[in-house]
Amino acid sequence: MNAIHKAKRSYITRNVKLDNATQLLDIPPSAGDLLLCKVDKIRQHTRLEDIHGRRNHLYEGDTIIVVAAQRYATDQFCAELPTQQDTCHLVAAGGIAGHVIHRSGQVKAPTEITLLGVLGDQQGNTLNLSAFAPISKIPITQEDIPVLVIIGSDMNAGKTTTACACINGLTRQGIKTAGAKLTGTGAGPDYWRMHDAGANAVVDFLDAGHPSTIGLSNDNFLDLLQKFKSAAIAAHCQVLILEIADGILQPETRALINSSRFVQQITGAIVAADSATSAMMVTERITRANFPVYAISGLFSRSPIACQEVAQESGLPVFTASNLAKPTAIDYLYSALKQDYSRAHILAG
Amino acid sequence: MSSSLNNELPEPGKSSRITFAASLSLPMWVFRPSHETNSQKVIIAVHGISRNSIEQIEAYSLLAEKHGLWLLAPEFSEENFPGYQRLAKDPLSPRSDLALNRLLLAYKTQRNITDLKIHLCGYSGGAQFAHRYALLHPYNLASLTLVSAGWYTFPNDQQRFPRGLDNWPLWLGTARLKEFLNIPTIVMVGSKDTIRDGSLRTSERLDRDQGINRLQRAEAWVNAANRAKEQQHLPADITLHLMPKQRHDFGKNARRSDMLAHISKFWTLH
Repeated sequence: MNAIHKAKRSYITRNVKLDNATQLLDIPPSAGDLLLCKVDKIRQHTRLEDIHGRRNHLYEGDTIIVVAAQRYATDQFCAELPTQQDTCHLVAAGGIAGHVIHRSGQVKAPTEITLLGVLGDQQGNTLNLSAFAPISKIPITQEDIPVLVIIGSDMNAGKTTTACACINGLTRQGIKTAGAKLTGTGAGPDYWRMHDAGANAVVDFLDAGHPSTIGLSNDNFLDLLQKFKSAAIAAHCQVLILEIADGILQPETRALINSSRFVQQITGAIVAADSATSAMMVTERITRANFPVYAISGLFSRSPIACQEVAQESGLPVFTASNLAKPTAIDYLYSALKQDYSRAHILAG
Repeated sequence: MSSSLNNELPEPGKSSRITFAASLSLPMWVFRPSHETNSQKVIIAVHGISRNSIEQIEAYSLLAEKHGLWLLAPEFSEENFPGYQRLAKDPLSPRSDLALNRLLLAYKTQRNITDLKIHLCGYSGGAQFAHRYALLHPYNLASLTLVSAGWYTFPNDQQRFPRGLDNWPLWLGTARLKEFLNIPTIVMVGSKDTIRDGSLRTSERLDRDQGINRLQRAEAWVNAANRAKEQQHLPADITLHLMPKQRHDFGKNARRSDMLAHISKFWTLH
């Protein structure tokens, strides 16, 4: 169908074989369904990221291929699945279509789009992201790998910057490193950034067929993590850097950090925070949940005085992003990771 | 991972061995006083090269009971922390100071304590650890008790690290001399701790700069620390207490000398 192949294709469809799409179905969209939409009114999102990371400018009247999903973003939109009746919105530049129910005062109203139909194949089946999950094909291994998790105070607290500094520093030391994003909304910048930092492998929930992770259970996340570990091991990586999106009060993140089964899969943690106070709050909260916290970083570390406050209060190393990538920090982190990984396996017998 | 972990704090008047999951590499013995009088102070007693933290708990629990304070005795194993006295052997070695800070964070969060001050005590290799720890992390120390260290990092730039502060390694972090000198500190050593046994580090330079035995080295360090305090316009109040007729033996020093009584008196002032 020509209209589908002429449309601007969003980042979130990067694993999808669009040749399978031959018709538009007039049915209510489910989570993960691929949608053809028309851009009506451009507001907050003026561009759409494509599968190569280029952010295409949008024009009213453009047709776009996006995916139906919920979104939870404290500094942007909270959105439900789109329906055929309600106004449809572009709620993330990576290509998420939803219906906005809450908007942060920091952003404009969402870009309005019209749902033209759900993409279907020749047999009339909907095309859903869950059918395009490359990491599901990697055999699950019994081998394990040290996992350093990055946990943040909020959106835009510096989690990806922290994760990428670790990836870059470890890689420069000759340690093969995988980067992964366990939770969040499908978006390219973090994915590409981990590649740019030098990761030997990068995977995210999109590679397991999830457009976003809103509503996933702890079992879903444990399954995802196992797949990420297998992907990292298949790529001969020695360490997995795992980023968890949003802050620790976000419902899925909150449930995850309180899961002892999840904590047992993690070797160590770095906190990324936007202020000294939030850094301490997150550090204490996740220590109580039994995460070994190795260091603290994030947006607040741009202030030397804030760094001093956190270092004095926590007794832990506080690193700016640039210092985190240096051999001094990486030597310390890697030695702590190796020691705790080996200790955990001895205790597990 | 959790099968061998124990994060159950002991009953009042009892002690138990604990490994927090958030601080896997550093187990500790914990003594809980029968009647806690101050939750915002804790005693930390660091073992010597014998790495016998039970001995520390047994001795210091008398003081913990008397002062109504919890007592923690971390166990820096040879396997996990071969160079714990120097905080780490090199940049690639595990850091004993940061392991202790992770342990303290776990202790604080488990007990919902927001502000915690430490009476830090070290014996022999533990005293080496304690004063080097205090140079890096002086802020949360209520007091510092150094007993029978084999050798010291002198608080001045006249000697190179680890004998002094000159050329302090950046990978360890910043030595905070001024704050260190503000910590109430006492130094103790047996009056007969003069034998150059196998565990005493010796070298021509160390013997010349610090003395030939633990007694001389303690005297030299106290003098140097008080000179450094005077230079910072602080009272030169670090005292050296000689335990009469005592050699280098923690158990005997604790049982047969005034070591614990002297520390107890020192704490009542801080």
